[in-house]
Amino acid sequence: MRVHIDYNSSEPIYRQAVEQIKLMVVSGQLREGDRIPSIRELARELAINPTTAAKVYTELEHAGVLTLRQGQGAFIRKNPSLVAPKAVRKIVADQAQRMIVEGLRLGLDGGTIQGIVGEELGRIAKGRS
Amino acid sequence: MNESVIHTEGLSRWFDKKQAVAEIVLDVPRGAIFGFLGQNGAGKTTTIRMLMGHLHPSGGAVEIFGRDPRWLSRADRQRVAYVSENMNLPRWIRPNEALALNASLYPNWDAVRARDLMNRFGLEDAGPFATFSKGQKRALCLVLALCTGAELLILDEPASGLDTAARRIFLDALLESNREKECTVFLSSHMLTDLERVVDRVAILKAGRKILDGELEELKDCARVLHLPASARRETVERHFRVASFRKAAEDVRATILDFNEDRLRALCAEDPAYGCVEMRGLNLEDLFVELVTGDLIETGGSVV
Repeated sequence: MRVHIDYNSSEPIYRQAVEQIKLMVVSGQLREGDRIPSIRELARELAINPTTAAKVYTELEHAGVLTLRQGQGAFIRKNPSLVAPKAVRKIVADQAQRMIVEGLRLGLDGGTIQGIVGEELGRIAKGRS
Repeated sequence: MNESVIHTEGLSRWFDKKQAVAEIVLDVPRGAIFGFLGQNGAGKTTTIRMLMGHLHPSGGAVEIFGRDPRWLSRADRQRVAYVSENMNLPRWIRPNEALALNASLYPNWDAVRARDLMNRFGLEDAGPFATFSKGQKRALCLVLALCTGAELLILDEPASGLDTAARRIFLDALLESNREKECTVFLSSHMLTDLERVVDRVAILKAGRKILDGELEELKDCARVLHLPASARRETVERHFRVASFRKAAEDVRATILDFNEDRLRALCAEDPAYGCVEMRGLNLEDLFVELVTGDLIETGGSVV
């Protein structure tokens, strides 16, 4: 697992790591059952504060991306089964709404926003195959 | 885990008629790497000297491990290692002699690690202290502190004088102490780009007062610069956000806020259609620091985050 952190970005370190690991899961680089580094290993590898590394795992566990097994480490879960399918739709719709509002507010039109979504989907799907 | 290793309450210090430190409240939890930031003359060193018991507070209280640092027992003193801003050793002392001296003072001295760090800093074959460069002197003082096995490291400008490579070695060693030995670290520094990677909490001092205190990642999560129309008024923005600075430029107004969320932004935009097209960006630690020390945020007693 290769995570790249820009330490001096305005984006918090934990959030950069969370987004990259989520992307690795949806693009198939990480699969269900894969063991990923422990909090301490991640802190060492990225040379970051252990509290920050712990935050990465709390976020991912909360999002249903991984499970922490005592003494064994962290493992990727396949589907976030904690969430009902209906709720999943709502989560994604809420995110989409936020993105669309932001895009329109900054002056993009609907077609352009749709185009961007298509391109990003294509990029992720390419990593997946 | 939530036990405070360092705790201060209303800590103040006057020098003649000048107040150098004003009512500082600090809580440094066990296991934290705590960055203590401020411009020159903001009161960092004065505070640190009071934490070490080297300077008496004019008001308020300090506790290290729950005790007044001026009356720590010998055993408690061995739990703290300190590197002052301009630390010097005797001119004649050689690195091996300095290491041997510390080994005799600290029961948990880690000789293996000391050798390794001396090696990494390229200090194994160095002569007497007087012949050291500024960076070598600093590096040796840091090795002496890092290998004591102390539970608390208090470091005043530890990286000053170190070159880039030596800074990297030092930061990695600091993280290692924190990770492997659960060492709590309290450090002041101007090297914000270095600190950004290693600290989990920061406090920012301005003219002797603490103006901000919190978890760095949460601060970054919630701090934004909003680009507002030139007609924007501070009071309006302050109804929705905590404003750290508010600057009028030629074409627009830039407001740095500390508690961004989308609902609040929506509420601000709903108040006046002129706010309808707000651009914004995040801030890294250095941006945030500059906005805070040059802005006009009023100090707070406790933590923001």
